[in-house]
Amino acid sequence: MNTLLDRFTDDLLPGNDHWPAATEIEVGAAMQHLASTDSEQKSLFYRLLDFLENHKERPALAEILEAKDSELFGFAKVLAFEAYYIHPKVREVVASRSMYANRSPQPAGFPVVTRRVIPWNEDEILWRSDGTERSNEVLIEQKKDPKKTWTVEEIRQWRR
Amino acid sequence: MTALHDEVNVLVVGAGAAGAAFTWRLASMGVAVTCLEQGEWQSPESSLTSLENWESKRLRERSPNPNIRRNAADYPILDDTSIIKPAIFNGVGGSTILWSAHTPRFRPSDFRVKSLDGVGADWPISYWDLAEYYEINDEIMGTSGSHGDPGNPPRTPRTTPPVPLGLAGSRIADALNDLKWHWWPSDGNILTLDRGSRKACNGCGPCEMGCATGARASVDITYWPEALALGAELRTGATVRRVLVDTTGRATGVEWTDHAGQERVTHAIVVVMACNGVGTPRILLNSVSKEHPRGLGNSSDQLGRNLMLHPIPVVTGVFDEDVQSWSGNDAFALLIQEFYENDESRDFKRGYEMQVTRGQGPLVTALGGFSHDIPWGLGHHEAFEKYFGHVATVAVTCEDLPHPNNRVTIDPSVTDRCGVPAARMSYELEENSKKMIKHGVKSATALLVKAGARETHAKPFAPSAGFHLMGTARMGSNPKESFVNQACRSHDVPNLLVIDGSVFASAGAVNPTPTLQAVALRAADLLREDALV
Ligand SMILES: Cc1cc2nc3c(=O)[nH]c(=O)nc-3n(C[C@H](O)[C@H](O)[C@H](O)COP(=O)(O)OP(=O)(O)OC[C@H]3O[C@@H](n4cnc5c(N)ncnc54)[C@H](O)[C@@H]3O)c2cc1C
Ligand code: SF4
Repeated sequence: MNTLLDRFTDDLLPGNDHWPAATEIEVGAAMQHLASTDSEQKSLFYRLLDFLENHKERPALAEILEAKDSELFGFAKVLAFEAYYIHPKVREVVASRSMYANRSPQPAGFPVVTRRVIPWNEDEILWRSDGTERSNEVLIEQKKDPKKTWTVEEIRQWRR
Repeated sequence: MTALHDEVNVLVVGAGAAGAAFTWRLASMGVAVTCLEQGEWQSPESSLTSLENWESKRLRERSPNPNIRRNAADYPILDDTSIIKPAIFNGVGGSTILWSAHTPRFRPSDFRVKSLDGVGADWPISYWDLAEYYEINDEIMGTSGSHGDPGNPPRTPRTTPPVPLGLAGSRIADALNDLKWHWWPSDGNILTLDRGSRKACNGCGPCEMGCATGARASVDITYWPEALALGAELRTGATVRRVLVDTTGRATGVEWTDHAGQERVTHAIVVVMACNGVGTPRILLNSVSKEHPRGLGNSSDQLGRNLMLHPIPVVTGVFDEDVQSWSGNDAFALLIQEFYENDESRDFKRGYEMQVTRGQGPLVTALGGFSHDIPWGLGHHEAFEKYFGHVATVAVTCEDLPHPNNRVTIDPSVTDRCGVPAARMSYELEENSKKMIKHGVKSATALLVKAGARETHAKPFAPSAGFHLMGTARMGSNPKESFVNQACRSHDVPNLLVIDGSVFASAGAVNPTPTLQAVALRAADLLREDALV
């Protein structure tokens, strides 16, 4: 793959003891593949390659691109991150470094760990009257018994 | 090409949230009704959340922004003149295919903002006119929640218990109890127990990609199957180009293109627009004639104006605890309306609601999620580990006031696949919104800190959150200041109805869909009562 693109992606996503560097999982090639599905993305991708070629003597390619063309940088960063974070190896690392399971959201879903909390105010009626008689009537009745179970038939009566 | 002609009774354009509710209601009263929808049916698998690279799909073919997604049914919406970008879906189910299904209702005061607080415009109807329809809609969509919220008028017991708060939600609920800020478990069209073929939510997270289990309602799995069983007709791949009128000023039907590119004309007794707050003004503005030179029914010049989007500032809190923020439905668990009503001691009019969002996977987190920034380069992985699973975001839905220059227009220099001009959104933040945003960010930050967030990050508004599209053909009693009357009927063209969020005279500070569906159900009843069909 293009060594300039490799340099650029490793600037963005360098590896460490736990995480692979972008080049280790061939992020550049994956970026090219992702960009190939759309003509606008394809032309931006070629613009990126041109930019890198024109600045190949410079050491920090990502930094230069960000400073000189923030829009193109934004595009390249999203594409590189996309290629990186959907890679199976990276997904494995994400799972091993967090409580996330290494699988897609469906079909199994994720258990939602939760706790029950009761709202502090269950009784003080807080909504504001709109100035109509109906508002005032309903407010009075709701204040009398905030926990009353209402039926659709009762609610239907509110219509003008 | 010669157009093919046919004739129907009631013709609805758009098979989204409003169009589905309206069609079902009329069909259930035995009225013949036909709906034209430019998109196609979606299958549950189309949510793409079972794929390994699901997050990549979220940035592409499942993006809520039609200009990025560019599916065959999408029409261009030029948005360089809007700081908030459009988020919609075009297909059977409309934008409910991608919605998060948070379904709070307007409060009674939302319908009378001018009379009560001296801003915006009053609706010609009240909460009490819609209450029954909210109930009907809740039942059909299937609503989880807990009745008895003292912050709102009474409602019936909900279909299933509320969605779980999750770890971050429980912390935030504790904080709200400490602060004595009013909150309540949210209503949402997400089932927490099985109901028929729809399964209970399994907490997978990205509801905005579509729901594979059917737990989250979308109108293609709720209203539409029932409407079709009642005899309603739905034609897909049917792109409406314009509404036709005769010399007496009555609508006679629509001109449309089918999926094979064949031009067609369908004549109807009543034409009903349900293409959403952008799609509806687009088609009506494109329907110019000698009698309607500014767009159909637009003698008031209100068509397309008063676009309200709800600016949504977001504040993300980072917790030491892994709160597993990738699990649970993405957009709600608790409804916070402490700052909802007008308060003269504040420097802005009206108010806002706060909701807690979650459900972000690794890629979205790495890209900065809602409002934090993760550096690229050497510090990237360390920052990622600090944020991933450890964040909760409070989204502040601010009431938007109507402004004539915030608007939808059409731009013939760009067209869709059938040659219909693109819509253009022009939208800027108003002074009132800017002040409200400041207040909202402060409240959300204080809440997250109270909940134990170690750090917070704020954005003044989410630029991609253009999903609440309201006001562009508003309802009113005065034909000079509004587009439709209280029955959703055009002031100028008596057999033309608009039934989607375009008719909102005010925006409230809550997600609009249950309200626009209640409006649509009521409009169907009124049409029938008036024996127009
Ligand atoms: C990501 C996302 C999250 C959301 N979350 C929430 C939420 O939590 N709570 C909430 O209340 N709301 C939410 N919404 C908003 C909600 O989806 C909309 O308010 C609702 O769907 C609007 O209903 P509608 O019928 O007006 O329009 P839509 O549902 O958008 O339907 C309009 C339909 O008209 C069709 N159409 C348009 N033009 C034409 C034409 N020329 N010819 C034929 N057909 C046409 C379209 O294809 C589309 O199917 C969300 C939206 C998105 C995108
Ligand atoms: S979190 Fe629940 S409602 Fe949302 S998509 Fe997953 S299963 Fe459906």
